[in-house]
Amino acid sequence: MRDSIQRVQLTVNGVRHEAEVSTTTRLVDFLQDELGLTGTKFCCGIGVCRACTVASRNAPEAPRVPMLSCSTPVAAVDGYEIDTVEGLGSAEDLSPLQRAFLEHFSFQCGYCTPGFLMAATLLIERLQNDPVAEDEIDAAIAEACGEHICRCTGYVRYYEAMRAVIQATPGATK
Amino acid sequence: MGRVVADPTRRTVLKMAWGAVTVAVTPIPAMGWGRGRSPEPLAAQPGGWSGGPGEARYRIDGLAKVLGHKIYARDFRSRDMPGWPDNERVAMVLHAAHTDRILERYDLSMLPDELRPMRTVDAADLARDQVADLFPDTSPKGWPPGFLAATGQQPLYLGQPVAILIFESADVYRRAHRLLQFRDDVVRYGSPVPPRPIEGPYPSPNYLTYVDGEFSRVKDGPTDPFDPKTPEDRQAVEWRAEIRSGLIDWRTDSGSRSTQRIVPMFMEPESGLGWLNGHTLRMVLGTQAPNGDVQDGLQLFAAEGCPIRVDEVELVSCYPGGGFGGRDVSPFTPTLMLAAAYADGPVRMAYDRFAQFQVGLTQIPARFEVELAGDDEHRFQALVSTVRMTAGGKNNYSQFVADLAGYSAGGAYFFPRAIVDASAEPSPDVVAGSMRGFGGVQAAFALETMVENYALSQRIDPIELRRRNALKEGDRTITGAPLTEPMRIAEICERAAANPLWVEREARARREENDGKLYGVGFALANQAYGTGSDGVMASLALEQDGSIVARTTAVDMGQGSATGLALAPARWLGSNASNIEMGRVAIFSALQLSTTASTGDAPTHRKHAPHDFADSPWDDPHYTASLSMSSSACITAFQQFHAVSQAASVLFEIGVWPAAVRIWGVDPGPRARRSARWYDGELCVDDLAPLPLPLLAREIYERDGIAEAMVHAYFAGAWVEASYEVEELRGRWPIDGLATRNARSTDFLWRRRSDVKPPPPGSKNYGRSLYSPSGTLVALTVDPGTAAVELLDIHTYLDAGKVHQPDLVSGQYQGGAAMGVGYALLEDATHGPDGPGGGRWNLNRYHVPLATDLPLDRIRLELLPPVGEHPTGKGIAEAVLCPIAPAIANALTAATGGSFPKLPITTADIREALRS
Repeated sequence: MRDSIQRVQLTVNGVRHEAEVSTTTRLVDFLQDELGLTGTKFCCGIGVCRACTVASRNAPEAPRVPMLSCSTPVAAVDGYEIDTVEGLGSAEDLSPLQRAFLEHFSFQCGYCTPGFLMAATLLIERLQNDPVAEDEIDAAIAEACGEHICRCTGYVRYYEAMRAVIQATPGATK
Repeated sequence: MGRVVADPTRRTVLKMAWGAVTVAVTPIPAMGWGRGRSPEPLAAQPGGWSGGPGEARYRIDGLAKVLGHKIYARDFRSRDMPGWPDNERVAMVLHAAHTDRILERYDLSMLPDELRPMRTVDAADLARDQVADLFPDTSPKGWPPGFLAATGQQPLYLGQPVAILIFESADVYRRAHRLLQFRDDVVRYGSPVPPRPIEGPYPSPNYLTYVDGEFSRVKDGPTDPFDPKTPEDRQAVEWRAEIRSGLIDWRTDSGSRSTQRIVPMFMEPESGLGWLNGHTLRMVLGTQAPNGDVQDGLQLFAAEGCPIRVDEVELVSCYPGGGFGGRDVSPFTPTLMLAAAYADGPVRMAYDRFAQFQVGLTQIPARFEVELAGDDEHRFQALVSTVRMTAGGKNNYSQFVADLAGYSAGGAYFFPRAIVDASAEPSPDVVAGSMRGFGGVQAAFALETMVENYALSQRIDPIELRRRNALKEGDRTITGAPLTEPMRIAEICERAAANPLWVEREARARREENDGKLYGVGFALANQAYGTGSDGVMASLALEQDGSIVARTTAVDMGQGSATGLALAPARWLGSNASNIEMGRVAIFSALQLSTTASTGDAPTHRKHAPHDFADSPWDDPHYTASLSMSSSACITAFQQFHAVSQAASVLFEIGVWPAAVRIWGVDPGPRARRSARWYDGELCVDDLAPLPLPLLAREIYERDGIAEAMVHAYFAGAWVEASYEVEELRGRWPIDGLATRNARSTDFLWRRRSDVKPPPPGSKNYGRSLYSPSGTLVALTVDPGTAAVELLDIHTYLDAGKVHQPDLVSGQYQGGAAMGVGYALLEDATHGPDGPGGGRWNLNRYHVPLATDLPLDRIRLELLPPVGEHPTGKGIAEAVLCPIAPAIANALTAATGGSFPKLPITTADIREALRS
């Protein structure tokens, strides 16, 4: 991509931002360097590990979908709504997945956790519109999170937590 | 968490203990929660992380991690740091991708003017400024020194830094980086040259000669049978000849094994901030050895003529985003220090994944030649094992890794005779240092697949062969170290042999065969040591005025859960968990006034002792210890670090809390009552005296200015060093070798003189290791004979973890270890040479780590052996759970295919070959 300057506006965690950015600036760098939102993690930089996953949509009524912020130029998300791990919950009001990840001891170093949280959050949103049978839960998790890399945990406790939240989410299962 | 810098008095002592420059390591600043957000008290949430005493509801660092708070070094910018300017520079490092040609120059002409670096730093700059090489004695023999690769010479090793480019801003860096990355014309090379000669292994190879009851390292000292100079060396030569000549009398089997180079692949690429502000170097890092890494890096500026002056270092120690040994003595820290020294202000350096692959420490590949000999009863009689590890261009723990591979060569078995040679040889490849398993994981693969072969060739059940030869309490290892604790290896074998996976394996194989699959079950043991054999640990425990407890420790939590586990340690003595724990602390422990240099009498002369040398009673010097502290690894948490925190709690109870209780009761119920005192619901209960809640006791301590903080140092080598201490009118004896206390209204610690020291057991300096976490794993799998695809069905591990401090953390470590073992066995392989990671073009698209779909998530099971003994302790298990996985997979593949798998990783081509033959 040719390097030039472009003006973009996007909404991150409900806050609208306008900026002039290089057309080659990655979304993860914009989030971290310009907005100070370092909860979204950089790991491989080539869209393999998915630690950098954020939620995105290009219209208010559109469903949120995962986006790999390490391989998406911020210039390509002009007008988008982006949500990051910082927007999921607070210490006083954790999301069900955040709470489940804690209670299941799902993570260790925790560097991949924001990516798992965002992908799993979007999975549950999707399942609430398109529920799966109980015996299809693992396949749904694998489809949404099976490519996410974690080096510490062996994934077992991530999957246990996600399964528990899906089972407890009204409308996520048939 | 606040920013703390040691006061001058403490720094003076620190100089004595740790070198010429003071290093103050401080916790993460509490402001770093992102722009416009307020700090949130992580440990103080209603119904927070802490469960009941000794229990955790979730990780103490968990809330920060699910909320995306700034806790990793990569999260911080200079604007986040109190007192730092905002104008942060960004450094990029050019690295050598070839070592077989002359480095001519580096060319940045492809950058337009606006993207040029403000400053470059190369070998010529370092030579001009007399910046020294780092650990020149760790270079291969005969190779020139040089931290940065010099033009006109061939680079020393792949990934050696060539130049540091300092850019004005993150934006300029990013745009310039994009233009420079992957270009062959940036770092320019000349004509090919021959490789540098390799003149022998790194010093000093580990030669073990063991003849039960006759000759051993512990009994006769270290020996060198290849350059015999002492009578013991010559005896070793003779014993070796006798062992070899005796092999003919036994049933033998021999073979070669090899393991590949893998990389830690921790998720957070190394990152940090540095700022040389005047003569104070400020840094933000996530390392397994905060103090050690920085002290090592300061060697760069140690030459008298070097204009770069660093008088003190203030280091903010962050949670590393994974470690696995790869952040211990990493070249990242000194490279960042150089960048900081030459930048005009704060500088950020953050590797991308390609750079991390190119320069990050790797595990060391190994080649083994193993010969096993047993009698007609299938009891092992001799082991002959040669381990040659191919390290990189620096001896970065490389020989220490080979040492442990040598100590681990005998695994879980008793060998009455053994010959083991273990060496690490230089190569011009990426620096290979410590990684999870530290030599033990390579040795476990070699031995356990050889034992499997031996069982098959001798037609004995593989688990029965293992059970019959299992080490037991009272045996000696191949160094001659006594095994003084219950060794439950035979029990692991018995449990595995009774597991339905094993019992029903033939019936299941028939069923799978009917479905067109080959089925196999494999078993492997490991007897992985934990600790270094000479372990120094420190902790401090403070009772706050409100009755809450704060723990401070040198330990770093790379994800293994030590922050949580150690916060549970006070519960036994104080009835409550620590509500807060400060990790990676160093400077405060100068109050212990300990040094590895023993003083003789009142004269100001100091005598240097080798780290393990207990001769001449250096322990008579109350300021002496054999090891101050060590790098954090997951395996030293449960026993060593937990001991330090627990002992600090024990001391605080006896000299602070108990006297306060006696004052409140108005009667001293005596030492027997003190020993039998118990905590119920946070209250100290003794006989029919009024129960006393900890906050009430704390209030009493603060009102009377009693002792509110105990700081301890403990040292383990075969046993904990014990000593007696007098604190005011109280006298106590604890398994610690250093004590300082702080009164409630004071900020200063009082050093407490020790007496009546019980030093480590004689000979323990030569044990090698003496602490073990035995484990055994059954793996069941299928192989598709058409595609050679492997499907793992079950991974079932038995583990003696001792006393489990927090079950979720233990099983989590196991599950991660199992996954890493699967990667080691079947997936991961970092190619040698410039076509490998050292060439700078590797990432996760080429290096494959296990995904969830590679693992039988619901069937990764851990069976913990119930602890035995009156006072069981925890055991380090992070490596123990990894070691048996790969050989168990290899043995299962042997069972499924009938083939042998002598090298890692086991590829589809290997399995096809096994199926063909």
